[in-house]
Amino acid sequence: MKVTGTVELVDLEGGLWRLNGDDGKRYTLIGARNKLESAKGTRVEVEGSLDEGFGIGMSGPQLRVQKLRKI
Amino acid sequence: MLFNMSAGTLRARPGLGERLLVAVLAAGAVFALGLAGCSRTPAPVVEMSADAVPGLIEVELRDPAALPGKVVDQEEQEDDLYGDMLSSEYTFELEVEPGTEAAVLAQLRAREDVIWAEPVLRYQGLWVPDDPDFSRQWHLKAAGAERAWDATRGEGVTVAVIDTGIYPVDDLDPGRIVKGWNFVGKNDDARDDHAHGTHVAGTVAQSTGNGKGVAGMAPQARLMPIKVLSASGSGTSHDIAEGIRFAVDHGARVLNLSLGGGGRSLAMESAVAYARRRGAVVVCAAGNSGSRGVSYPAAYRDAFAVSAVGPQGRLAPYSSFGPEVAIAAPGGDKSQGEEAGVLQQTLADGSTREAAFRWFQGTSMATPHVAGAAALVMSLGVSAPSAVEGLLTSTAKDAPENSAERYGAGLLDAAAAVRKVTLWWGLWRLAFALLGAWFAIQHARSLGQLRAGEKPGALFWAGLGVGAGALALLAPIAAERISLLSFLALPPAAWPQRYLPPVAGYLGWSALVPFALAFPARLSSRPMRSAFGGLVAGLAFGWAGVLLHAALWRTVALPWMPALLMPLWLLAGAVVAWAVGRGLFTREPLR
Repeated sequence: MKVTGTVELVDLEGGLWRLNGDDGKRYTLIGARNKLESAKGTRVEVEGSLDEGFGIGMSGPQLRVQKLRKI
Repeated sequence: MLFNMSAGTLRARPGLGERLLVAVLAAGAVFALGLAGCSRTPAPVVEMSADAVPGLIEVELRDPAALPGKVVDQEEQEDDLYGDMLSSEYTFELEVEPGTEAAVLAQLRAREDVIWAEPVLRYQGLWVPDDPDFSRQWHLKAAGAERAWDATRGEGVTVAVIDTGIYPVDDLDPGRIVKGWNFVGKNDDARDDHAHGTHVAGTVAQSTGNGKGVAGMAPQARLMPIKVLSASGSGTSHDIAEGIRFAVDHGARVLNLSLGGGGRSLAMESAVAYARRRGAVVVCAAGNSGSRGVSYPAAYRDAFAVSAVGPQGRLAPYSSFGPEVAIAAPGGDKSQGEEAGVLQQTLADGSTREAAFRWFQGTSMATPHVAGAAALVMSLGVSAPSAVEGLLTSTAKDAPENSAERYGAGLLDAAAAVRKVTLWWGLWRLAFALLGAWFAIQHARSLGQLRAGEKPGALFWAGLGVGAGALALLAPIAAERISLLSFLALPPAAWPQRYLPPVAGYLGWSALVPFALAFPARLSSRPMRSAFGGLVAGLAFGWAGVLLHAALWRTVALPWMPALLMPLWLLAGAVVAWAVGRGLFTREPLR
């Protein structure tokens, strides 16, 4: 799936990458840490797989990043 | 030897050993009474002393009015439970110029509207850790760790950290990290490649006594690293469920699950139920949604869900809440500043594997405070998960607001939970033992087995005290400062379960030991006349008291024993132990 939104580094659990989606949802971003670092605070389009998976975030669905594009 | 005849013909006077024993027991009793009573003795009004925190003063007023210095904390007491307050009273904590405290105090005390004013004192437990940054760990203090450590530091309990792994940073004792498993890489290298699991493990059992860094809730507990989350901090329900089962099967008694998700996985649910059935407490993070709705596994019936509070004990803005929340613990609230987080040593960055001290916040950070507290009470011989959970919830402090969904039973207080075991449970066991002994003595008298004026000697009472675990009443004095003596903090009935494989628990939690010891004692014609016979009789009554307490309070879990049968087993053991003690009053040798 593709979601657009803003990348944010949230100070929770030692640092969580979050996508504040234009759809109003908050996604915990998994993987691609280096790309996320450079995209911090910017608007992006993320292509990835969504799961209700388990992790340290515990604050919404997890989006496993496959492609990330600044818009 | 053990009968003091009133006629005084059979023996002239007690031997030196017996006198010494009586003296030691009496001194112990006086000390225990002193401990129990010290909170009730009015102490002189506190003056400036070495314990005072420089620049802080506490004052209670009838009306809020102008005060010298800056108000750093205030509280209005309006819950007039006893109807003895004419109006609301206000307590303020003031910051004043260091050095002027005495003058400000004098000035405040002279005022009409001031009820009292005193310096703020620094509390010090009997045992203070030597970690240089311990004073910055407000969260351990808030969770009641300091005073709990006077009685136990978690010896003999294994806590599994089911997380991103544990990296053996230098402020974790490598000797206390047991073998775990990596379910992500499917190998035995369960070292952390993220930072989360190492931080969580630090809160459970960061080393102390090494003069380095910071402390953890149960610094003498063992840690079992179970890696189920990858370097990105996520994992699958399958791996987590497997990790839970692995941990329990390999001896973990407390499972820390600082993880969660929205999906209700049946595999994980049955693993959590399995763990609890096998005698493990499963402590889980409520979640970080900042809204109503507890994540899984915390929301499962058999999990112990933890919400997070900040330094003032208020629910942290990020913490999830809901009816499943069992208890609240410090998880940090960094909206109040960096140092309002939870401080432990972890990896600076998962990829470099360099250690660093970091302030984290999250319900993941609250969870290990509770897991560590569970390890502390389990090290005192409490093995039933329901009893451990009940101890933690029944001793929790009142939350600042009345909301069971936000705080569960209230704020974690490990010291109160530990005190309930060492003091109150200790007194119950002793009372049951004494009652049993008194009843047996009366019965023996009525049958003429004990003549009027004959009474059991000092070794009988010493045996009773030891058997009933009365030494636990002394635990706050020394037991845990000398690790080797920590077994004194629990009754002998609990020793096998603590030091041997779990199945050996049956040796202690049954009448087997007094029963076996009674055989040689009953070879003589008057068992109670021998030192050994008296000691064994006392031990049997003490043992009976402990078993009866365990049956009524349901404190024990043993392998293969269904929870419903456990009290009956213990009750039967108590009856047999009592009968063993009673049997030693006989005048007939065993044939």
